Order: sequence, then structure tokens, then C-alpha cells
Amino acid sequence: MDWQALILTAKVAAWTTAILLIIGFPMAYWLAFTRWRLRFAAEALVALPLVLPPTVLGFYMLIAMGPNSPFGQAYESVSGKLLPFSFEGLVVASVIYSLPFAVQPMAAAFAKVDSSFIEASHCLGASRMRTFWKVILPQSIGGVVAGVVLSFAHTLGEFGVVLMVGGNIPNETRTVAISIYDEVQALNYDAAAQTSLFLLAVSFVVLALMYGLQLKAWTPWTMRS
Amino acid sequence: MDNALLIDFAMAYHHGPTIQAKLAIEPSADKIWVLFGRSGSGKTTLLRALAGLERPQTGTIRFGQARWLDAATKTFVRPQARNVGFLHQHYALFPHMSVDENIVYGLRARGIQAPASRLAELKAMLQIGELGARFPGQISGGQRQRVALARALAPNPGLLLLDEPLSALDAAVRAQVRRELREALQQLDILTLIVTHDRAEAMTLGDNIIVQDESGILQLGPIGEVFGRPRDLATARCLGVENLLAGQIVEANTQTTTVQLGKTQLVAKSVSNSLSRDVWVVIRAEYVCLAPDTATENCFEAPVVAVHPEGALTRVVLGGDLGLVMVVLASTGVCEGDMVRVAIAKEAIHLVSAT
Repeated sequence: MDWQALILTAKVAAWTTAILLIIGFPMAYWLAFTRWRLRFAAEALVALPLVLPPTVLGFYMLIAMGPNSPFGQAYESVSGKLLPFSFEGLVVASVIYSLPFAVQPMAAAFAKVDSSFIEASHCLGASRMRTFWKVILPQSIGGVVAGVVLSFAHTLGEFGVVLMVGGNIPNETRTVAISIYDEVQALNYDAAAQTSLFLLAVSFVVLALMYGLQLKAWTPWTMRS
Repeated sequence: MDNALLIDFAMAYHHGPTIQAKLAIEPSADKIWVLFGRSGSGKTTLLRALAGLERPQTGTIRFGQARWLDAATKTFVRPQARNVGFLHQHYALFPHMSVDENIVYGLRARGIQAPASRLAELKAMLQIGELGARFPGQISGGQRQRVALARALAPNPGLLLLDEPLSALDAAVRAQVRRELREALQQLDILTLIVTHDRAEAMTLGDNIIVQDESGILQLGPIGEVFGRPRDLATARCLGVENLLAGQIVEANTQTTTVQLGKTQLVAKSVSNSLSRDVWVVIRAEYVCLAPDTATENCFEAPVVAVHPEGALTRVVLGGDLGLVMVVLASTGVCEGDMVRVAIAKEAIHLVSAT
């Protein structure tokens, strides 16, 4: 088994999930509670990576990160490195790619919190921030866990975007999905089968864990029959 | 210190009705007000606007010196800064927190870290001392209401707002919880507004009443006075007065006013001398009484058309000239087809101008 690729993949997934947790919270909160007329457009934008072919997404990100784009130039002037075909570039691409998997379950869970709880909290003097941490989050923890698990699992298996943005550099951008592809190309079916089975097992365990937790996740007594 | 509450606003819902409310509540010893009206009349909107949960597009709300809403200057005080206690219909107790954690939530939010004495005081007052460690899902509906009240009262609100506080309860316990709620509220010295559409609830809970319908505030004042003497036909209808009959004044002096209704004449006690000739006669069903043979005042015989048992009381629909509705004790055993002799005290006959 290609342990180097596995460890690298786990690192990409961990970073991606951590970043998604941080930027996903405010985005999900905003999507769940905004009364903006064009909210549907924002929702569509967040959901775009679900339907876009990974190569299309990867292509645009390659352009956006490249040395001719403002974003790429800004990154280069700060870090002295180029973003495409680097570990950091891969993480940035993965964040965009897995964004809906983090934001959608979180936003759905936040929106499901009964508005009377939020209003009661406000009337009792709690700020929006305090209300989020003390009232909304504890009641939507299942959705947050789902968001984290799904983004991690989804990032583990990405292929097209990695190929476009990261290429195939060992210990830098060569993830398991690429590694499996390489093994198959080289007709090393045994190695490919081993890694594939491992990925399959990990994905199943992670998802089973999530659904198991979800069932036990706390539901408000008002919703119990 | 007592504060006057001045309300004058209009709130338009997107693709919905426009709710208007204009009223003033002056400081007084009787602090429990019932906001009464049919569903859709805007009572809950008024309550929510007071809490800052709705923001009317036009008008003002002032409580004492504080200006909570002034649409003209775009002034809007957030709910957090109003210090108002708000009880949702289903109490909205935080299900992931224990009873104690729920009660101290408002104190913690205001940065008060050691609320043990206040917690004990509230729990003693509302008799929920033994529930502290339990969760809202583990206590009864009546107990939830008390916990929610304790939570709302903990930060010492200047105004207490209750949205249909009994609707979440089973009918079996409602009457008892209603009395207990009245007792609890009487112990407080806080201006309280209670939304309800239930007459019995209004009468048990309130000192004063505000009658509201789709057009705005119809009447406000002491509860007995408003129920006994609604200002006009719309108010009487809104209050659910059973007997509303069109008549004409045929004779009036300082003592009595005589009204002709078809072939029947009723004599009412004179109260107002500014009535038009055409009037509406307003009589509550509980004041139409079975008469002893000796009675003479506003006394007549009528056939019983229908009988609706309501537990201890029976609602009786009479035929004849007036077609009155009366409420009698079930033990009187009035049956459909009976001829009954009824009387109405002249003090119980209220007249309002028809124009």
C-alpha cells in the first residue's frame, strides 16, 4: 500500500475539514438565517461543486491560482511560492470542492432550530453570538458532525480536481486516488486493490459512524411524539 | 417605578394583512392586562412588536422614558436591550439545558455569575424547587410553564408578555394552571400583557382587558366593565356576547330606558343619554335567568329550541320573539320542547347606538 499517499491524503483532508469548519460556520449561519432576496443565488453558488465536473472546477481554480491572476500574484508575493501543484494549492482547491458537503448539512441543521428558542434567547438578553453558541449549536450538533464527516470523507476520495490543480508530485500532491490510478495504469492490480479496499473500508466506517451518531444525536423534546 | 406604555404603530405583512394598534396603558395598581381578540386580529403581532421580535414599518412604541420604536427616526431597540420577559406559546424552554440552567440563562447573558440566591427565590415563589436538575422533556406542561415564567422573571423585566400561556396544556389541567398562574402573577409588581382568545381565560387572569380586532384596538379598561358594557356592536361581537338584538328606544327617562324588540318590550337601566333611537341590545347569556313566578321585570315565556350541555352548565337556545341564548346550571334539567319563564334584570341589559 502507498502509505506516503495515504498520509498525504489524510493531511489534505484534515486541513480541508478544519478550514471548512471555520469558514463553514458563518456561511451556514448566514444561509440559514438571511432574509436576503438573492439568497437562492448564494445557495446555488455553494452547491455548484456538487454538479460541476471536477475537471471544470479544477480548470477554473488552476486559472484563478495561476501567476497571472490577482489571487495567485497575491499569494506569490506573500509566500514566495506558486499555489498550483503545491500542497497548499491542493488544500485551497479541496476547500472549494468540498464546500457544499460542509455548509449544506450545517445550514439545514441551523435552520431547523425552532425560531422561538432563538427569540427567547434574544429576549433574555443574549447576543446573537451567545445565542449561536449556547442555543443554536447545541441543538444542531448532528448537522455540524455530518458536515465535518462528509467533507473529510469527500476530500479523501477526490481525483479530478487534484489532477488538475495538484498534478502528481509524490509527498506533495500525490493523493491515494491518484496513486490508485497510477497503479492501475502500471497494471499493479494487487496494489490498487489493497489501497482501494482500504479507502472503501475507511469511507464506510466514517459514514456508518456518522449515521450511528446522528440517530443518537439529541432531538428536541418538542419534536418527539 | 411605574412606566406608561404608549403604542401607536402599523405593521404590514408581506402579501398579508396590515395590523394596526393604538393604545396607552397608564401606570395603575392593576397591572395584569389581557389582550383579547379572535385569531388573526393581530394580538400576537402587538405582543411581538413590544418584545422587539417584530419591527413595524410605521409608528412609535414608548415604555416610560425609553423609546423602543420610532419609525420616523429609524429608532429600533433590539429585544436584548428592552429587558422584557416574553413567554412563547409553547414556552421555548431550551431542551438541552436543565431547569436550573434555563432559569439562570438570562442572568448569565447579562454577566451575572452567581445567581444562586435569585434562583432559589424564583423557584420557591413558583414552587418548582425540586425540579432543578431535570430537563424540560421530563416535566409536565404546567411545570414547564412555571419554569418558563421563572426564566422570564429572573432578570427582573420591566414588562412581562405572555402569548396564549395556557394553549399548550391539556384541557384537564388548564383550569387549575390558570388559577395558579393568576396567583403567581398577582405576587409580582410587573406590568403584564397576556394574549388570549378564550373568555374564561381572560376573566380569570386579567384585571384589565384590551379588545382587538382586524381594524385595531376596540376598547380597553377594567375587565368587568368592558365585558358588561362593550362600547359598540363590534366590541360586543368580538367579546362573544351571545345576545345581540336590534331594537328601538320607545321611552327614556333618567331611571329607565324602554326598548321595543318586535312585539316585546325590554326595560333597561338608563346609563347613557347619548343613544340614537335605533339601538343594539346586548345581553350576556348568563344574565338571562329562569324566573320565579313572582318575577315581573323583563319577564316572559319562551319555548326551548335546543339544549347544549357544557358540563356543569347548559347552554339553552330559546325560540319565540327574541330567540335568546341563556346559560343555566345543568341541574335545572331544562329539556328541548319545554316552555320556560325567563327574566332579565334591567342592569344586565346594555344598549349601544346602532349608528
